[in-house]
Amino acid sequence: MPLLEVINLEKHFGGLTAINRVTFSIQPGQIKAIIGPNGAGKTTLFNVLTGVVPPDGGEIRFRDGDITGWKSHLIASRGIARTFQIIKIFGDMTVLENVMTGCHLKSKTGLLSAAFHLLPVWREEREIAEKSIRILREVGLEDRAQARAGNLPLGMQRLLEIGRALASEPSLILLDEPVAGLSGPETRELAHLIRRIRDGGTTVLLVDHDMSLIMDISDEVLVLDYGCKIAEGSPREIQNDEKVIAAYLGEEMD
Amino acid sequence: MIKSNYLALLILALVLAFIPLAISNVYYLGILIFVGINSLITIGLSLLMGYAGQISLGHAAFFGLGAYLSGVLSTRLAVPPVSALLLAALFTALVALLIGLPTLRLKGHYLAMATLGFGQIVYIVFNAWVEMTGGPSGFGNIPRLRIGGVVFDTDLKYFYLVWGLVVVGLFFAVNIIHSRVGRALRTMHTSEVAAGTLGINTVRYKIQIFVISAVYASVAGSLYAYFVTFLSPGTFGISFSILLVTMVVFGGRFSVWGALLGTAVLSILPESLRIIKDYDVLVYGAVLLLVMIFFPEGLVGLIGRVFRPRSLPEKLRT
Ligand SMILES: Nc1ncnc2c1ncn2[C@@H]1O[C@H](COP(=O)(O)OP(=O)(O)OP(=O)(O)O)[C@@H](O)[C@H]1O
Ligand SMILES: [Mg+2]
Repeated sequence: MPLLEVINLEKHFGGLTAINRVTFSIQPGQIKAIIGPNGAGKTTLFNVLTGVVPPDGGEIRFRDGDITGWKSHLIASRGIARTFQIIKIFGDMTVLENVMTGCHLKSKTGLLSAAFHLLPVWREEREIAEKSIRILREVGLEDRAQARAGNLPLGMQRLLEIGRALASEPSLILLDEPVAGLSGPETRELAHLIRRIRDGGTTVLLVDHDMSLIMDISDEVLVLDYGCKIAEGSPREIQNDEKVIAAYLGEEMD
Repeated sequence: MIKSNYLALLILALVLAFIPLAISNVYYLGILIFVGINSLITIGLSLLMGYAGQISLGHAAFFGLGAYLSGVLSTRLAVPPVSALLLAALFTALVALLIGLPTLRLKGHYLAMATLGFGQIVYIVFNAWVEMTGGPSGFGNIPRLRIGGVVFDTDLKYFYLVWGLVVVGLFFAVNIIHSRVGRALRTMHTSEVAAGTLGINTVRYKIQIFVISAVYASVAGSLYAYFVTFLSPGTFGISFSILLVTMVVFGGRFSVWGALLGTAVLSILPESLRIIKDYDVLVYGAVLLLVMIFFPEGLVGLIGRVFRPRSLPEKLRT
């Protein structure tokens, strides 16, 4: 049974069709990649999947339930987390607080109990802080825990966004261009991290333009062009697909 | 961080405990009681403005609801003051919920508009419902506040009561800010989209904070009623709502301590500079404008800059 099933999904912006009847599914435990030229609709697909923008047609099923058109906080509570191509960390918080905010779904202190700050609240705060430190260690930012998140260099901000998303213990994580702007060694480091995330039981769907990374880590690749799915298959199949090569004509594909 | 706030609270409580000993003039004690009452409102308002990113232009009306409901219940129906205060707070919370539910679902500053209208309506009701409120000339003979066997009939007792509640109000506010809920609210400064994808229901927390801030104002209103024992509508108009917003912005809306500071300065200054009185709305408008342009983080932000000069270039870099 697939973890995520997308059926005939559509999204339009005025006259522009950003997603054109796209159908695909993700099996649990996979690392699946979405590639496609600039403006192909990859980020829009992520936005629809996470409820940031509503779909205009089609169906999204997750863990065998219909989540089409749900608000983003409800979709998150079902177990989908994500990062952003244009980073959206909470810049005025510390690195640790960012991850602690990611623990929102896995904690429960409400307004009134927060106001009194009684023992259970205090205990939960400590648990969240400890868990967040563990996650920071996992993504390699432990020694930056008390830094202001907005002051981190770009690469670390990308890692922080992944850590923050992991804090909600999702069953599916969507990574939108996680290695954009990273150096070679940083990219290799991130490839290891993505595998560790998968091995930890979280299914991964990622978008990127770094073909060697994609070919290296993904089990399956889906190719979008002008909002349409033009190919889907193993990395090897995709590399030799004529439609894909045509779509990337003029762009380098290594 | 929460620990340094507790330390500050402790110091504040100690200072407050000794203030009456240093002040012999009853007149000054009275002013400080009003500062305390106003602070209670602005602490709640700063939670709304600094943390939920919303503006209320109707907090004078919530303050008025607390005052009139307590006054009317205690005077006409002989409800004991503490019960009246709690009933007023409950009613005010419900009213705030009814205003917040539809408006805070929408993006933008609909709450500001709705509370502006609400403030006007409440003001008209205070004036027009003569049998209940005494109309424009108001009504008096409100009994003194009594808790158990203690009657709060002197300025000294009232000073400790009001400022005791301010400390409690600050304690609650500090706890909320440094909690799961506080973090959820702070996400709204930077990205509500990111907050949503982390499972944070921002609308719900905005509504909750709005209701809480209205309750702060209502409690302050009840305290006001039992202190002055006479109410008339003039106190609860739009200009007081604007003054409250000015106090929060002036002190620094991203900190409840800023609310306290702004309230103290803007409550005491006009008392010492009587000439301002006639032009108060003008002066507050100018203060609001200048603060927003030159130091949007208010007095607290300014002080922070002086003591941590390196934080300025950091801010500019991002
Ligand atoms: N909110 C929006 N309003 C209008 N048009 C939009 C909006 N979001 C995206 N688009 C358009 O939809 C199309 C798909 O954009 P999208 O960002 O999904 O592409 P992408 O595949 O992520 O590209 P890139 O590789 O550059 O990140 C583009 O033509 C874009 O201009
Ligand atoms: Mg994109």
